[in-house]
Amino acid sequence: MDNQTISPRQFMFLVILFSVGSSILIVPTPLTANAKQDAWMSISISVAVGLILVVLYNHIATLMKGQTFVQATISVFGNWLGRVLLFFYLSFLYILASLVLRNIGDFMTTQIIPETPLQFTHILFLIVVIWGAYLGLEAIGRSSEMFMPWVVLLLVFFTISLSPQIKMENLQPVLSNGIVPVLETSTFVIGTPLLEMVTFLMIIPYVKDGKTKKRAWLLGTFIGGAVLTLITLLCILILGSDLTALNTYPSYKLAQKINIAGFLEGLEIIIAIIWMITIFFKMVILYYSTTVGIAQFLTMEDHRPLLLPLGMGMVVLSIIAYPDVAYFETFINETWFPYAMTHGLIIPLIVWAGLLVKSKKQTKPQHDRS
Amino acid sequence: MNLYSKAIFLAVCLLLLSGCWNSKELDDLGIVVAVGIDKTEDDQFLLVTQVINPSEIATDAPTTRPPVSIYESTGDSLFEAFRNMTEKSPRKMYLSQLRLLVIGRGLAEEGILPSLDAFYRDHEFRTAFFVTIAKDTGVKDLLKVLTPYEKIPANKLMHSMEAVQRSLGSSKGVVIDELIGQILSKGQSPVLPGLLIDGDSDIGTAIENIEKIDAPTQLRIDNLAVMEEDRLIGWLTPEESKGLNYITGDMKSTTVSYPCGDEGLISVEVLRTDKSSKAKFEDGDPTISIELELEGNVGELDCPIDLTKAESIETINGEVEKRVKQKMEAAIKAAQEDFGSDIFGFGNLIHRKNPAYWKTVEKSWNSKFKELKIDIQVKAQIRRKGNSTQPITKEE
Amino acid sequence: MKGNKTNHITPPDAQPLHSSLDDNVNDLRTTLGNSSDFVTRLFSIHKTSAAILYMDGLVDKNTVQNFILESLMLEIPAKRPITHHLYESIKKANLPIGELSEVEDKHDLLKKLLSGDTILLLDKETKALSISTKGWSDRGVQEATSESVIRGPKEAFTETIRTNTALLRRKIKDPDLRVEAKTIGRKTCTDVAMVYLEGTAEKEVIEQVNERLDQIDIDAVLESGYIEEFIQDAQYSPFPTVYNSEKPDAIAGGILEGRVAILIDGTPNVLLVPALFVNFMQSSEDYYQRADIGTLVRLLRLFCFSVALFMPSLYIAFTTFHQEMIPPPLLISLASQREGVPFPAFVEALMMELTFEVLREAGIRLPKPVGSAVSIVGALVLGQSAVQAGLVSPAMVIVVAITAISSFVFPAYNMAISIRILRFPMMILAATFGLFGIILGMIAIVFHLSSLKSFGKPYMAPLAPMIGKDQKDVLIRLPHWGLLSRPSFFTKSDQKRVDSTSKER
Repeated sequence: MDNQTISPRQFMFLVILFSVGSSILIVPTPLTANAKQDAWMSISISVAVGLILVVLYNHIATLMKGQTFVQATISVFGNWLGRVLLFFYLSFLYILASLVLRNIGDFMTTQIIPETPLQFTHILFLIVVIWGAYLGLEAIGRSSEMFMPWVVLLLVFFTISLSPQIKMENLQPVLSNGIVPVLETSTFVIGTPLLEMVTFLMIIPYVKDGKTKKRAWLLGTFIGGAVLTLITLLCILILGSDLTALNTYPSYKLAQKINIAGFLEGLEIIIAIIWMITIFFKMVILYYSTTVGIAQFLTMEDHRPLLLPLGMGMVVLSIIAYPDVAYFETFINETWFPYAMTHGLIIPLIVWAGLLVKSKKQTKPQHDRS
Repeated sequence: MNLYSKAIFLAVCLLLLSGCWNSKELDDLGIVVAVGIDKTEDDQFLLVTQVINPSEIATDAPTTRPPVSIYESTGDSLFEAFRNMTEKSPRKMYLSQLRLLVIGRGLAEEGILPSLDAFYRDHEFRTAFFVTIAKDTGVKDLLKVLTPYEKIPANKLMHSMEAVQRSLGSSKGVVIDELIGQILSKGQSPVLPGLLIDGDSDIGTAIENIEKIDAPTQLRIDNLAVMEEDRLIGWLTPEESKGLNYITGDMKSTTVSYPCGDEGLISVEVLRTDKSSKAKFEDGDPTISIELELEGNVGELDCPIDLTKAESIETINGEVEKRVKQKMEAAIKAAQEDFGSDIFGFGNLIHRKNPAYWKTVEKSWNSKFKELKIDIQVKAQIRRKGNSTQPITKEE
Repeated sequence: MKGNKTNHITPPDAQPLHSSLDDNVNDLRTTLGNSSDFVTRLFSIHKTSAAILYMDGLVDKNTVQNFILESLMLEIPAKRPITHHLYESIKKANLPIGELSEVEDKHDLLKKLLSGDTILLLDKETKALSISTKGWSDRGVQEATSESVIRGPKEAFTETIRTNTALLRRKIKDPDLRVEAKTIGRKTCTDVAMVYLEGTAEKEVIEQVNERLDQIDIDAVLESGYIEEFIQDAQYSPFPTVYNSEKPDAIAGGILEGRVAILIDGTPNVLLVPALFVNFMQSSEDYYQRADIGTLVRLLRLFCFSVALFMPSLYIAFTTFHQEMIPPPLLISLASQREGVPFPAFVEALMMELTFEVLREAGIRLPKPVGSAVSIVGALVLGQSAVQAGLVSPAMVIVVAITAISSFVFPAYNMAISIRILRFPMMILAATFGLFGIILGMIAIVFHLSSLKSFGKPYMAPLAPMIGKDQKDVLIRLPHWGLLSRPSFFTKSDQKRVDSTSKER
């Protein structure tokens, strides 16, 4: 691979954009459908769980000693067993990327350009993603720094302009159905985006400065989680839990309610820009790590030749991934969490155990000698 | 150029040259500002749209053509009716700028939730339009009336609605997501403003209507309609409507007048209201207590009263409190006795206060509501008396 | 001035001079094809025949007359004869001229001769003396034409490299200011000079510039654009990665930031590298006006950058895709304007933008008196009449006008061109995908910008990568007493600019 590196701050921005992207569109609805007005609590709980998860990932990253997850797995489990594990890991990333692509496509064709065929929306989006992945991690990191101020600015604008419409009583009664539905729905956010952060095990070796990058990951997860909480909270505070659960894209509906001085209406498109930017980054990170991972899996020197063929596959996969939105909703509610759990927790745990054993073996002879 | 750039180049060409699926030129749009829906006799949906004629509105040289046009169609569903409309209209109906949805009385009595779905689902609709009910007239007649002063009738209605809500308080604008939220919530029933035609509806449709200084036919915002869930069950009087707005805290500014002396009248301008309502539980039974603080000015004074004295202000305060409380009580009485519908959202208050109790009464809330005890406290404060210190009276 | 570096353009074979004067002169005559501006003056000093050769028009005739011919023909004969060391004595004692060199090779001799030196040949000598007598009529230092300022020096570089280096020396009187000379161009043998501050400019950058300049093998360099295209980093990018200016103060400012200027003989446009995105958004005047004005103007430029790039495409996207975003009264008025316009908004915009580009190009090329006629045609005929004829909507004319005005705000012409280029793909994207297309286009542009480098420096620095302490002079400009350090994205050495105590009262 090329020796491009990113700074811990850029890494943190990528983590934030990754955790916000696409989740911001799909999370509030199922969450409020199950946990009602306590949905924000589910997110807070899952962010706490997510932080523990990131500690684990960070530990794995330390044990990988500058190798990517793919390289580390092969070196621990050998060429065959390692590749079997990696096949699942990489397919997870690839499928996830195509689902994210479908999310943005669905959103665009539902809300903004309904008459445009889905596949063309996907192709255009993917061309830019391929372009980003082609330019490499350095450009991705720097662009995240270019966009981050805008995302923050628009988010602050979004919050402030909606704040007059906040009705605090929408949050009451607190925990009326007990803690059980809250805990149940928190698995949803753990599934997307927190377990998906296993992707960053492909990125973190390229981050400069070993000490602060761990903190950057934790902080990024925290901030990303906070943004998700904020958006869900705003949905509940303004739309109420019933309407939030009724809307496919409540955060977009929320933006439609912005009305400044009776003149500045219809700002939802501006808000759609933030969503698009965050989803774009999620997509480009996933796509980059998938192609780099596959390139390392196949022991290729450069990931670039893979970009276009994999992209063509992804367009097709994203179209056939699910037949309709209702199918997707059941999928994301019921299937996704165990699926993400397998690849985001169990496979990393296996590799972690392997890495531990290996590093013990390596340190022991040294002890014997001394 | 390597294979890569060739492939991307081709893909980009393919995308860009075949594009424009969604583009609609501005002059291909029929900008709909108001939609009326109702049921026809053979149980089909009747759809009436008011479309603006842009070149007539933004022009230096107005012609005699009307600023808006009306199209009408029917269909088994509203969506179908919308598409059927293309048979008549030259342009595709563009609904994002919708200001007003008028629901016919017949449909409202049957239940409006099924028809609202179309307005909430389609991406073209934005949520900032008012939902109203046509009282005593057909929706088509109502949307046909040309209005003086404001060229677009829907805009006129919207502005009047806002003005009524801001400075009279006998009605209020309800936007669609608020309405749907209230219908979905079990602890509150919605109210909707009514619309009326003043005068002969046939004259109203002609351009002569707006050529006269005193337009013979005009549109008016009427009092609030009471709904039970999504069905229209009755109408409040102006006093009750005001009372409702006091209770729900939607009253911004209004007047309170009462007679004094023999023929005189005092009018107080209410500037601000501050409402707080709470649910309390005594022996497992809920009561609602409402505290309302008013702040106002003396607006008009037509009776011998010495305003320099502190007591007279006290008297006015007391009288205002009494009148306001009467209105609120009237509204509650109407809701509890005549309609049996919780239009104040007391159910939600109880839900928030005591979710466990709410679970037991949720199903039969409207009947429980009839026996709900409500305690009202009003506190009025007259701060200023305007420019004149005393009533303008001739010494006798 | 350092001596000439070894020239990489090696002559085919070294040709030593003949020992006979006549042979030499005849040989040169044939080589130059009996050119009419080739002057040979044969004479003799103490019975040794000698010849003075120069190109008419390239030499200062006074110098040749007063200091060469006079001293050789009048002063030497007056002294006692020195026959056997005539050449050495002339070289040592008899030419009161500052710059003098010895040539032994015919190609060297020709090069000197053609760049304005006077050659002294003696019979029976295989060496010739080359006397620097360069002097031709040039334009003199005049006011800058392409970059005008309200406040600040008005002078501009000229076509003569020596004048230009002098202009820079006059601004930076530091012994560390280095002027490294090179000759590029097989046929033109153009003088090129690298100017930088030793110890301030980064060694890697200087090395890279040297390397890239030495690599150039071209027959002719007529303008700095030739060099720019050879040394720029991004060949296939619409964005410029080499800055150019004809204002000595702007270039001197760049040199003081630790950058390297490249002066090319024959053009007033001096190159400056590394050049980052923010440099093209800044003008030297930002530093002459007060800090708050400078800041405001910079923000204004950034705003105009986005307007110039996105305005037409946003108009297309809003009016054909996202009508719900337009406030209702505006929508009604726009819709009424569009009634009867026969073209789709995209074609309308494309037409107007193209017309404008044509007008602009015509305005530059036309002689000044005719230029005003073009603007009348542009403003009246195309603006008003097109609207009255119902070919375009008035709103479109406004959009195009705003875009055009915004694109003139940039101090750097080449950045304005890249925006002009990018505007059209953005319009196509807007016409096919609406805002979705515009946003993706924007993301692609930002990614492209972030991936660019100029002489090893990230193009978007100090915005991406973000360098906190360098923000003082990017989007905002702090007062001069606050600009404590040089921009660290150009150079890490010799950082201190202002002593923090200089503004204490």
